[in-house]
Amino acid sequence: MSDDMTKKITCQEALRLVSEFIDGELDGVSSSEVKMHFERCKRCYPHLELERHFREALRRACTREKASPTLRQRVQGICSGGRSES
Amino acid sequence: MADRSGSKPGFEEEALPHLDAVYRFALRLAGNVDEAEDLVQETFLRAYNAWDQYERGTRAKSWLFTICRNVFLRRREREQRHEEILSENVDRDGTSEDLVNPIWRSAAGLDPEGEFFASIVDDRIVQALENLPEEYRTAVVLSDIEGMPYAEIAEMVGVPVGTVKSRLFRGRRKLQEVLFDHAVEAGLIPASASVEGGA
Repeated sequence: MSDDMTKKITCQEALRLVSEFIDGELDGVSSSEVKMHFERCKRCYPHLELERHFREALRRACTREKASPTLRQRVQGICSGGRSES
Repeated sequence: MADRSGSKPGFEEEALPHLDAVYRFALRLAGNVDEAEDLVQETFLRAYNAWDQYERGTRAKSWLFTICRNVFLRRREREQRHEEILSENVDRDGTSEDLVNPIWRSAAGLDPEGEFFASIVDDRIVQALENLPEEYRTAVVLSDIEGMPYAEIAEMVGVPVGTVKSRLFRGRRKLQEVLFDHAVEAGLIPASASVEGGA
């Protein structure tokens, strides 16, 4: 529950802004105020962590793949002459 | 204009560093390696041919992604009609139902901070992402994986920023729901936790 230190942002506002806060896209609200709310509000903090864990898992799973050497070679062929070697 | 070697100055330096990112984006769109590789080649070929129209110093990655998605959508249009997605004029300031994540409600007391996400294997996450409707998938990939700002995604996709937010909201919630169900089935969190519909 909110205490004195989290008065500026209500729990409802914090939950509404959680994604924009993580994405660095807050509009018209101070990031430090939202951050302070999550740090001090035991009820809201897990919501922030859940969203963060979700994004971390997504990034981990989806940044492994790289273009194969064959594809790289073909694209390099395009870059150097506007044609594919295939 | 091409130089004597036949290449266009600056293209390779600006475009090639984004090859892996474009490939991953193509993979998320197409869902399979063969089509993704084909998409990447066509993307670079089209980009190469349009290089004279590209404004140097602007966002090359975003430009390549735009071409890649356009190629993908055109191909899909030939094959099938777009998947219908739910109305997007969601009032994000609205109901309390929106505010509290349903999976948080279910996981509360068991894994309220969503640590189970870290235990889910990569392939399962990729599969869940690839099952999202294209509009949501693209928004989630561009924001959560590529780290693009909302405004850049909006410009790339050709929709207002509010629509990007709405697509992100819906796409993330859907993904979280699917992954939560998987985590329960896989025993990553106690079976007593399950997604309940109401507040």
